Parts: sequence; C-alpha cells; structure tokens
Amino acid sequence: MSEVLVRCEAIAKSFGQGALTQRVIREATLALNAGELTLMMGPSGSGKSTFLAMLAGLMRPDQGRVEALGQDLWQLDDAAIDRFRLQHCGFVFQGFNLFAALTALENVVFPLQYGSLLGDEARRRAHAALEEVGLGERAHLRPVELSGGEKQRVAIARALVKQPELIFADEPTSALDSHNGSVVVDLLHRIARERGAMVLVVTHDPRLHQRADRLIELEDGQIKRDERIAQTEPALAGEQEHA
Amino acid sequence: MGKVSLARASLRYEWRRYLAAILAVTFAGLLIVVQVALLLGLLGSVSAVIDESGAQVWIGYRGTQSVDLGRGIAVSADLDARLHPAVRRVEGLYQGYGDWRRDDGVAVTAVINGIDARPDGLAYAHLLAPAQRALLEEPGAVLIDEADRDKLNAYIGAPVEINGKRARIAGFVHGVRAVGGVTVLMGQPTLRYVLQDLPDRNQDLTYLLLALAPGSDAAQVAAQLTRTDSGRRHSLWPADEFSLQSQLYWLFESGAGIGAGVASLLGLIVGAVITSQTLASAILASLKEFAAMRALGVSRQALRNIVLEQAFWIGACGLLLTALLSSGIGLLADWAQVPMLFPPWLLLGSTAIILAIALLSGLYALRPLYQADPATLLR
Repeated sequence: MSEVLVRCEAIAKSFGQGALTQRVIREATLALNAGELTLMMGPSGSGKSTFLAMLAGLMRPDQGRVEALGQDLWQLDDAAIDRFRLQHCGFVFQGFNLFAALTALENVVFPLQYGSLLGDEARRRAHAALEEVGLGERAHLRPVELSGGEKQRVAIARALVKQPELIFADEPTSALDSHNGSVVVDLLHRIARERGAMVLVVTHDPRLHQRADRLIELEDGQIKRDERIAQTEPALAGEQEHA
Repeated sequence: MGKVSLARASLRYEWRRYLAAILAVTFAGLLIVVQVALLLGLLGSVSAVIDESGAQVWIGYRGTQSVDLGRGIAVSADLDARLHPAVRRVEGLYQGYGDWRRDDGVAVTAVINGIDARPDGLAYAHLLAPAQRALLEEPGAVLIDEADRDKLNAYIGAPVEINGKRARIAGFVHGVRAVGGVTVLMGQPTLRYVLQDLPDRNQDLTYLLLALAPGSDAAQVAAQLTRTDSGRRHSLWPADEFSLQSQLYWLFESGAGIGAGVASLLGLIVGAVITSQTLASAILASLKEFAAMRALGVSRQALRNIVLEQAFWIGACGLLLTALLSSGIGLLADWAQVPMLFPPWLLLGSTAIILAIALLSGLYALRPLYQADPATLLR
C-alpha cells in the first residue's frame, strides 16, 4: 500500500443559515494515496466539488481536519495556505482558464514566476511540461489558436510544471469530446504513476471509470462507495496519449 | 529571456480594450499641459515689459496691481531714488493707450510704450537689438510686434497715425504682443510728439526703472526707498516681485486661471473614471483566470500588482501621447505666434499628475479582484 498524502477526518460543510441550511458534506473521512488517480463521482449536488475544495485548501471546512503532506492544512493562516498551494498543489478546472493574451508557453511560465523558479530555468521547465502533454510544437500559440483538448492540456502542463505532489482536477473533461477527455485523463493518470503524485479527479463522466485506480462515489454528502479498480489496459492508455 | 509580464502582454494583445483609457489619460494630460502653457504664455505677455527689461526695481503709481494698469506719476518721483547710493540709473517709462489709425482709416486701440531708447537704456534691454534701439531714436519711428502685422496692415515704412500725429513703422519685434490691444514701442522723440496734444502734460511718465550697482539687493533697496518722502507717495517693487504680482493678478482677476483649473480638474476626473472602469472591466473579463492563479497559490497582492502595473503602463502610454500632441500644439502655437510656455516644472508636474491619476484609477479598479475566489471555478 502506498503512502498517504492527503487525509481528512470527519470534515463537514454547510451552506446557508437557519432553516435554509443545506449540509453539503456530512462528516466524511478519507485517505488519498501517492501514485494513484482517484475518481470522485456522484450526481449533481452531491458535494463533490466542495469536497475537493476542502481537501485542496480552497474552502475551509466547518469541522474536521485535513492533513496534507503531514501538515494540518486548516490550522495554517491564509498566506501560509496560499504558499502551500503554490508549492505543492496543481489544479485543472473545467474551463481551461488560460490568459488569452499569453502564449501556451507563457501561460505555463506565468505561475512559476511566483515561486522560486525564474528566467530561463522556468522557461525550460515550462517547455518540458508542454512536451510532456504533447504540445511542444504548439508552445508559441495563444489559447484562441488551440482546440479545447489542447487548451486543457496546456492547463495540465501549467498544473504539473512545478512538479506538485497533489493534483486536483474538477470536471476536467466535461467540456471535451470523448477522445480528448480520455487523452486528458490518461495524462493525469500517467503523472500519478510516474511522479508518485496524488491525483484527485472530480467528475460525473462515467467514461472515465476504466481509467482510474480508485473510485469514490458520493451521495448526499457522504461517501457511498470506495473501491479500487483493476487496471487492465495501461498499454492502450499509453498509446492514446500520443494519438 | 525576460519575465512574462501579464500586464504588458494584455495591453499589447487587447489594445482595443485599453485604448479608451489611454486616450482618456492623454486628453486629461493634454488639457492640463495646453491650458497651463497657454495661461503661462498669456501671463508672460502681461509681464513681458518687466521680464524683458534690465531694471531691478520699479517705481509706479501707488497701489498698482498689475504692470499693465499703471497710471501717471509725477516727474519728481525720482528724487529720492537718485540720491540712493546703490542706484546707478533711473529711467522713465511711459505706458498708456493711444489711438492708432491704419492707412485705410480704421482705428485700433494701441498700448504705447515710450522708452528710453539710448543704447544703455533699461526698458526692453533684453528684447531690442542695438540697431532696433537706434531706429527708435528717430522722430516718428515706432516698432510693433510681428504678431500684429496683419491686424494693422503693417509693413516697414508704412505711414500711420497715432493720436492724430504722423508716424511710421520702422520695424518689427517679437514677444511684446499684448493681451488686449496692440503694443507700440517708441523712443522719447516720438513719444513727446504723439503726447503733445494731451490735456494733461504731466501724464507722460508711468514708471521709473532703476538699475542698481552690481551686488545690490533689490528687495532691500526697494524697502529703503519706500521709507523716503517720494517713496511713500508711490509703490516700489523688486522687478521679479512686480512680474509675479502682475501675473497673479491676471491669473485670479481675469477668471482665466479659474477656468483653466476647473477644466483641468474635469479632464482629470473623466480620465480617472474611464481608466478605472476600463481596468475593472478587464479584471472582470479575466476573473476566472485570476481565480485559477489564486488556486495555484499566487497571492492576492501579486494579482493586485499586475493591475497596478497595467495602470502604470496606461499612464505611461498616455504620457507619451500627451508629450507628442503637446509638442505638436506647441509648434502650431509658435507658428501662429500664440504665446505658450512649457517650463520644466509644468512638464514634470503634469507627468507626476498623469501617472498618479493612472495609478489611483488602478487602485480604485481593484475591487472586482476580490471576487477572484478559486472556489467559484468549481462546479
């Protein structure tokens, strides 16, 4: 069994006040491992994204604790949580959220500049990250010149360029067709395996089912199912990445 | 390879979005620079007679507020001045209105400057070349400003009538154009001739111009002379003080200063509002990208600095355009002989104001940035 990178204990979150209070997550406990891609699925409103936000240091839980890389995340002050995300977390969102004015390469370099990497080294790393997602040749293009799948791969390059231990993806495939969707998930899967990163993907896309190491199903704010998926087709996944 | 600057990249890539802000800043800057330069040119033409003359102390009618509002003083006003050990030269200057008739019979009101045209004369010492002074020694000779040439149908040698006396245009000078009428320079022979029919013969002296020994303190001499008998009946000013007083009088009494001030302020407000609206809408348009940066751990302060950098570059672009357009307007004014002054303090001051306005607009535009919450990106 591999190392646990993120662990949460009895976290809960409610929105609204008084009679309108809606309990989105009810006392959930979970441990996520290095080197694994975990899918978190569930119907709309089941609280998947809220769950991810609390694990990733984006939204403070009402109760419970989140331990990430050995740190009690929500005991840190806001600036320290920002620093934690800067150093250790990569994010991929449904909308690709690339700056229109920057080229693919610049979009990847840009957040690096706020860390410790600067200048040529940052550009070299950004180029390597774009190579890794198969966009080395298109690094000079702006988002408007890229397809949806390519944009999402740039966003993935941006998330993984700082070599984070934790990668969070929220509906990364729902704006993509099935081919591009599977390319994106296989990419995330490979990063988990090769780098030993923890990858958590929130999705309602059942097609991704086959491509993960572990499946967590959420319903009404509670974990309903948590099971490992036997991997049968890693070689195929590897081929598709370069399709 | 340099740093990736989102601020500069956005300005280049989405220049249409930012153009309105840059133009707003430009016109705000232009309003300030051009109005103040025109105002300074106007005020400078009021005090030109002081600034272009070599006197360090002026004596005039008691309580005169601006040099163009002088009244006749007694010839005896110079008595105590001549006795002061520091005074090297005392010279009379006449300033008054005269009736100028063009060769086609049209009458124009002219401001007559009757000066001591001798080579070492103080009046307009910095303006007139020795040859021009020599021209004025001839009876009937007058000089006018080049800018009034068309107004007076003037040419060299043209016969004119001043207060019903024959005179002729002996030449042209630059820089004595008056705010109101036409300025005419003449020497003592011509002056006595054109004033001879005036009812009050004692009104041919308006100011006394004093040159002091080298190293004298003009303010001190003026103060000492003020305590003498003739000094008490007149006003005395060090030249630079009288120049400033005249300019301030026009600045505040004419309404020109207040008009320019209000217009500049309006320009600044419009510029600031357009700039901050442009920046705020640019932030809103990129809100999700900013939120994604927040998720990746980029601090809010760092995002704020991006907006302020954008504001700075908008200000800098506006400044560049302001400089180009101001130079163009300055050249145009020069060609049209409209006095405009661009002293260094005006250029530095308007640079500072333009950049400050741009940065303040940036600060004001930051509000939407606080909506850049990464949680909003989650579905």
